[in-house]
Amino acid sequence: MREKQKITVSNVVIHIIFILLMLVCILPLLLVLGISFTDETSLLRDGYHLIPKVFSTGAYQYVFTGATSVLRAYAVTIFVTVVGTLCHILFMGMLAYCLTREEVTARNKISLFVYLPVLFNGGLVPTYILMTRFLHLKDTVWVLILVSIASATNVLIMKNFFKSIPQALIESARIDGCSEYRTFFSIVLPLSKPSLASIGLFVAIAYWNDWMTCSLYIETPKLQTLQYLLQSLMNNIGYLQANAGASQSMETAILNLPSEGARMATCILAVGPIIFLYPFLQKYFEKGLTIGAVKE
Amino acid sequence: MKKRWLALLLAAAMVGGTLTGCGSSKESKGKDDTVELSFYMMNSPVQDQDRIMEKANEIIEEKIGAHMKLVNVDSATYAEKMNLMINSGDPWDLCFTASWGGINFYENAQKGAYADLTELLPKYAPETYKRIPEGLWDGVKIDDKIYASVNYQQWGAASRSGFRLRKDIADEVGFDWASLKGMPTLDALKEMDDFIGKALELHPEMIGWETSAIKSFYANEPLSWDMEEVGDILTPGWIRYTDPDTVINQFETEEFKAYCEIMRDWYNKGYVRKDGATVQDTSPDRKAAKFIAESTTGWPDSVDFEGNADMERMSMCTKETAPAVGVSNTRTVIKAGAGPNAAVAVNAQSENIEKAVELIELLNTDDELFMLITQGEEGVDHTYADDGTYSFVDGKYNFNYNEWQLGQSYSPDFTRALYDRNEAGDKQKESQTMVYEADKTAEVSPLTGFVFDATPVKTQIANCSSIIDEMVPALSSGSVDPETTIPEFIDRLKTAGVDDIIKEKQTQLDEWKAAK
Repeated sequence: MREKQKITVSNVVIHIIFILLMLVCILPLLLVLGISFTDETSLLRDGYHLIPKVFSTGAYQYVFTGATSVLRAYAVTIFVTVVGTLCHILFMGMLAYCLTREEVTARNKISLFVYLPVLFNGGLVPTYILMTRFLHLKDTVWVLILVSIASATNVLIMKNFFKSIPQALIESARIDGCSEYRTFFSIVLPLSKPSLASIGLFVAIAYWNDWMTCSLYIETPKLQTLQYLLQSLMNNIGYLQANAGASQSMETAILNLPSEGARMATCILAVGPIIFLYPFLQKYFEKGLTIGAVKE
Repeated sequence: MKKRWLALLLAAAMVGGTLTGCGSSKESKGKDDTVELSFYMMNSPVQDQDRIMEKANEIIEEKIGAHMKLVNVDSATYAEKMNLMINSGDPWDLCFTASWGGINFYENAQKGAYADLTELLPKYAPETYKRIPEGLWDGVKIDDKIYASVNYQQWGAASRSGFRLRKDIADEVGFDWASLKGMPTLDALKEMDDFIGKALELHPEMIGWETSAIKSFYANEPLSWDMEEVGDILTPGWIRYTDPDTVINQFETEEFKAYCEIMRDWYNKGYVRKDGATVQDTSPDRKAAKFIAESTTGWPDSVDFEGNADMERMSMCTKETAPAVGVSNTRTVIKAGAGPNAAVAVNAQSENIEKAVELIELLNTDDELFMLITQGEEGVDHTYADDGTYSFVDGKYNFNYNEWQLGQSYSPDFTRALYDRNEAGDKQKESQTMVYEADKTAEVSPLTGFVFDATPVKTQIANCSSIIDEMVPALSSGSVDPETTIPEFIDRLKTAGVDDIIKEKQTQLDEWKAAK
């Protein structure tokens, strides 16, 4: 049984401030949801409303049947997010673990190799040349995963976490006959769940929200990701309108682009799944925030 | 538990296998005897494109023994993507190019990215070459070499600007819209002031004039002010048609000041949107038929030719919801940028440059092929109603009206675009004939053939651009007081080096004139 809290002035003020902050965060999202369910003509006539004046699912019907195949984009995005996050955690975890093991004599040199790209990197054009000309990854689904499969920052965070696992635990596992792999997969990884979950969440969100890679390397409409579709829906209108002087056909082209409602519907679909990840990973997330904060 | 990491190894091997698999399948494609030519253009996703391209490729293979791979890149990312592909030496054969929107025709041509077509065009694409007025070819020349094939559009090459206003409301208020014909833009705006005021009294829910953050009626519309841009439109340095030898700072003119003052006045009177300085997308307002008056680049206007369907409705509306009249007030001129307004370039690194030029010719001369790709199949993708009006079938192939990027939609016999099979269609043909006639007699810009090399003043241009991006939307939407803001704006431009840019443009222009 928790003690009943007294209502003080400061408490009320703090609550009000946080309620206002919450509204600032949540209202735009609800508004987008409202717009996505509003009938198109009503949207033009009455403007935006939280509760649709004329309810319609037309925008969603358009999104699911139109030329921009949202369902396929969903599949691509989910595949990339799941596979990408798992691979990212696995490879970065193995690397970080090695860097904490004293048996790896070259670990300082490897560390340098890991951290150097944080300070100096090739930039866009060399990266593009590498991806397309040498790795031949252009227009494949793997490029979406491989481009962000390594992150020095995450290695650093994981390394600090692995360091906090008592050395004795690993030694005792070895005495009991564990191979290196088994030690890693059965002892170290389960103990690092909080750190893996919070890093996993960051990585998953990064994969989910990544549209840049898709816009650079993907040409087949089948492989486009959800965020890229969304991004293009939002930007095309502005770009075409600004350059409409180039051809009279352009005005008709703009007219042909998805309506306000359809754009909002895509928006809702794009935030949907990832927003539900938060509640499930919340407990790890909070724990994960303090990773590496205290150094022993 | 050896199984687990064995499984992992297996997974890794599978991933590796797929990767190499992808790589090798790509290479084997090239070994076919028909050449595959890739064509990059900006377009939204197109349904059923495989079906149409299969049919199109049958024609292309039969005629020139090649295959075309049409790659649609999203318009918002097209410029960046193409420039990246050029800079990194990525393989491509043909692409849509232009001198606006960051696509950088001149810069890329100077850099040597585009193949020199001066001799190839008359040889492999004679019809394409012959059809286009000489002035347009001058527009895509750098040092007397042609670097792109101009897409001569069904809308003609000459520009003329003007206004479109609501016919029903003009009648209601009793406004003599035809009097705006040929009037200097400033006077025309003053003339419209009273009209918009009265119209808004009757229809308070409407908006008098369109303002937005992405397009300024001054900064993006030099023709309306009897000026033309030297180099990129948004960089400082324009010329007046009345004094084509002097480069001026377009923001330091009486016109700009007067325009901003009018907009400020309209802002205070509630004629324009209060958030005009930040609004990015005005299409909802247009679709809702909210504007009383707007600018237009379309012509012939309602004075010269009654029945031009594009002039009889407001932008993005139908004739029923927003009946309109158009009136033009500028001169008719083929601007220096008319050539690279829409053109097709060939990659200088391509292995099949000749074939690529043959493909350009085929796209421009084979009406059946051009219509197939740009309009789909009749009866399947577009249909004609009983009264002869055509429409596209929902959910079928739709090229999103991007035919102007693929090739020339110009056709004096009207065989390269869809027209209604009734009176309206005949009217459209009639009005386009007027445009084609005007193209032959229109003034040619004094700047045609001049290419500004921006490299010496790159930093200054970058500095000025960010200031222009920040200040122009606020000024041209009336959100700020021009009395204090214009001097501040000009001061900031001067600090950023605007005078260097003007001077550089002037020097290059003088040299070019002397050489001519």
